[in-house]
Amino acid sequence: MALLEVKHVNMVFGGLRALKDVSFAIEPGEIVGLIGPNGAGKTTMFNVLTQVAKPTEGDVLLEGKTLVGKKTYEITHIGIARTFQNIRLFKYLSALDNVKIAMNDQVKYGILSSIFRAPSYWKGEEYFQNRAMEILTDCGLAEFAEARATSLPYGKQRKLEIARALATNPKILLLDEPAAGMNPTETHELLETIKVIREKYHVTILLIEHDMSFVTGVCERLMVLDYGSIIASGTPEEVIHNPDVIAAYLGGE
Amino acid sequence: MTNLLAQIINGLSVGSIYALVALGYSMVYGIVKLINFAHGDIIMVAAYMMLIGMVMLGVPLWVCILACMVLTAVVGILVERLAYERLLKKGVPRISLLITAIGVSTFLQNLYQVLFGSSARSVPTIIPAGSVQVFGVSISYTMIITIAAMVVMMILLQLFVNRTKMGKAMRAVSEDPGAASLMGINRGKMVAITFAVGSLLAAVGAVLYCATYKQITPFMGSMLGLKCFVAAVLGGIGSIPGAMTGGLIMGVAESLTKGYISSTFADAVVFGILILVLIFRPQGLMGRRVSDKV
Amino acid sequence: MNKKKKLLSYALNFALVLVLFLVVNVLMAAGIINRYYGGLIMQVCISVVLAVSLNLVTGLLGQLVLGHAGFMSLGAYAAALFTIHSGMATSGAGGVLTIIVATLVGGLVAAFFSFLIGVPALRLKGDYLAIITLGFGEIIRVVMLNLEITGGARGLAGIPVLTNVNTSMIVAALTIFIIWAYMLSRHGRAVLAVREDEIAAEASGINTFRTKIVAFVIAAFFAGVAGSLYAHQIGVLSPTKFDFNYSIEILVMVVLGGMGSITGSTIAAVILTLLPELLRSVADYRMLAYALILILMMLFRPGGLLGRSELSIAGLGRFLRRKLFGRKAAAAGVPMTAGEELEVEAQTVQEPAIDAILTAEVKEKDKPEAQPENAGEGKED
Repeated sequence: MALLEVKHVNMVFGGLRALKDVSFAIEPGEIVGLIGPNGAGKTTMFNVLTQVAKPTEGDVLLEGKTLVGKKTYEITHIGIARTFQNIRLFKYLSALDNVKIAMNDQVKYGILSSIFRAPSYWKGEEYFQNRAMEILTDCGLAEFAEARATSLPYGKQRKLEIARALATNPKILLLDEPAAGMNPTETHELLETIKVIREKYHVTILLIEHDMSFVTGVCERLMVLDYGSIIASGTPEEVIHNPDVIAAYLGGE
Repeated sequence: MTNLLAQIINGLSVGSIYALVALGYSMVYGIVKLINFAHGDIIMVAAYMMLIGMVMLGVPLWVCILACMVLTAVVGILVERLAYERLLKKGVPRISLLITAIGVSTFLQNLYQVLFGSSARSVPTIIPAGSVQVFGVSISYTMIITIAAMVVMMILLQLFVNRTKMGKAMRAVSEDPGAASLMGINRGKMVAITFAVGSLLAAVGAVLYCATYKQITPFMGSMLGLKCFVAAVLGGIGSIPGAMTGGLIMGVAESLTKGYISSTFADAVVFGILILVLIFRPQGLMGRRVSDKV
Repeated sequence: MNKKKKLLSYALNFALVLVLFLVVNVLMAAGIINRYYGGLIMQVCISVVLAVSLNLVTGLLGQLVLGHAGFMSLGAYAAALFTIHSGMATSGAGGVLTIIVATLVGGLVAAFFSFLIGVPALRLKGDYLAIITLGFGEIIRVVMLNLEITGGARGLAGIPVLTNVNTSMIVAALTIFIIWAYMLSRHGRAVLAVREDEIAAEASGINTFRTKIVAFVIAAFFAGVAGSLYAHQIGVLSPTKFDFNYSIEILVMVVLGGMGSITGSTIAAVILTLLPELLRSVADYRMLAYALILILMMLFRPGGLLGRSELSIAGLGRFLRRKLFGRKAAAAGVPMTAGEELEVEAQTVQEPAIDAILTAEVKEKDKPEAQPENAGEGKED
């Protein structure tokens, strides 16, 4: 069974159809790239997947269960985590706290337990601390654990967003332009990190990206979105040589 | 039956004042997403201008009204420039703006209390007493003029917003500040104009308030402001016809409560309306649902 | 920071509070703290409870509440009516039990009402909580003025005087501790996440609505507790005490102390309660000054005096050490100095959650960065 299934999703804003009858499926363990010109509807697709925006029509299923109508935080608990195109970290908190927040419901000690500092509190906090440090280390951020999120270099901030998303124990990770604004060294580092976390956390990844060398370097399959429709899907090699895709990128009609 | 009709007409008259004030809240919220708590107190400031003009300076009524409108608009711009402009430019969190607004509101109230004392002051007659009989209901001149003034101001405002270049620019900024600035519209200027227009409408509301209640205090703006903000939310914040509808509904609801239930709990009814709106129709009667950009 | 160190620091702070408690009691026994000063201490403690609880919603959660005095009033009346009508003992050990129960009743009644109005207001995005609490504060006053059971405009008299210096100090210390402990837990991290970025918090699996409502209800609970202390201190309640200006006064304490700083709120509450006592002659201008404080703070120092940082013994130790031995030593922590011990043992708020322990000096450097607090938030519409 496919991990994530999108069935005939339509999204209409005012008179604008941002997504037109989009359907696709993602198998467990895949790394899939979602590419397409600006304004093609990629971020809208992510918003639909995380139910930040409710689709006008159609259905989204994770492991066969519908996500439509669920709250965003419920979707996260079910197993979809995301990063944002414009970084949205908890700016004035430490990197460590950024990650701990994302694990908040993995140990559920209560309010009274925290006030009385009950054993469950200490156990929970120990788990948060260890797990958060583990994730930060895997993302190459261990040395920044205590630093305020905004004080991190740009590339590290993007990675911290990935670490935070990873901390929710997702089945599928949605990365919205993870390499945007990065220099080649940073991009290369990111590529390595993605490979590491995929290996270790067995997470399926769907990413939006403009940097073609990055996309072809990391993705096994690409989907191309243009004017709200998927116009091509296949291996990077196939997609790059697809005439429709070339036309879309060169602005042909 | 006549009693009911009388209550409704009374409500429409009071509601007209609410509508004029609600517009200021609505327009400012539309353009800078700020609940301008000081707006209620702007009305108080305008009302004291009428008092100063008519009683202390003895200026003719029409000069007084015109001067009050112009000066209140100036006060509106001053408040925006001195208190909000810097914060709006910096893009501070919303809570900082709100705290500033509540600070300005408290400042105006207490400044006027220090200047004029906290007891109520009487304002001379603005609209002569007298009434006409319609279907056995007597409607005072004050009510007629109040409702008429509101309708006239509403038409003028619609013309300003829809027909003039400045009005269109204002709308553009409140629809999409980013795109508007790309079109060469100066956002800061439009914000100042919005405050000026809102304050001018509030001044008209203040004149009508003085005519209706004949008494003013430094704290008259707080409950009035709250009611008018609720009216703006009820009508759909950001919408001009919404503010008008909301104001009229609030006026009638309050008048009916006073007439048939109890005058002490009329204010509580306002609050009840706010809660009901927030639960059942948070976008208001005529507002649109806006979603967050991610 | 391991558990042992934390427990040690808790013990040290507890010991400090105990010392303060003893000192006050000795001074009272010696007659140096007379009735007047005792009354002032109670007022200060009540202000501390109010400011620290309001700081939870407004400073730490980032939601403006303009009716904190309204919740206090609910708590005051509920607790007073409970004491009057319950028939529980009003003196001796029984009196202590009575005030404990009455205070809980006051807190719970305030919390219940905050839940009722918080649900519609917090379900929505935007600033509805500010307006709805503002309205609520006004309405409560009108209702209290017109109810039979509250004595209406005459007020409610004959409340047994059960609050004393010690009860008020214990309640203030407990309030600070509970809110601090709450903030340094997974619940507190959720609160901070909501303040920083609601959308990101939601995407990180935080139920933002629940987080907001719980923090709001806790804050109202403590406002009710403060109300009960007040009612049993003065013995008479009149609705006019809990007006809008009083809510603003509490807000000024939070803003002045630093939005999000528990110690800041505490210090500001102490200062702003004592200052008006000293400056009786200019009482007419007090609210005017408060209004100016709000505006000017937002314009020029939005972080307040302490910003989001907390004062702690460890921070003080580090500060002194830096002054005495220079920056390097402090940074590396090389030589063991007198301050070092303090630092290790006394660290209470060191967790990064509350951006711990910046001394005044460090903060100055932080300022330019701290000023444009989350620029994105204001623009996102």
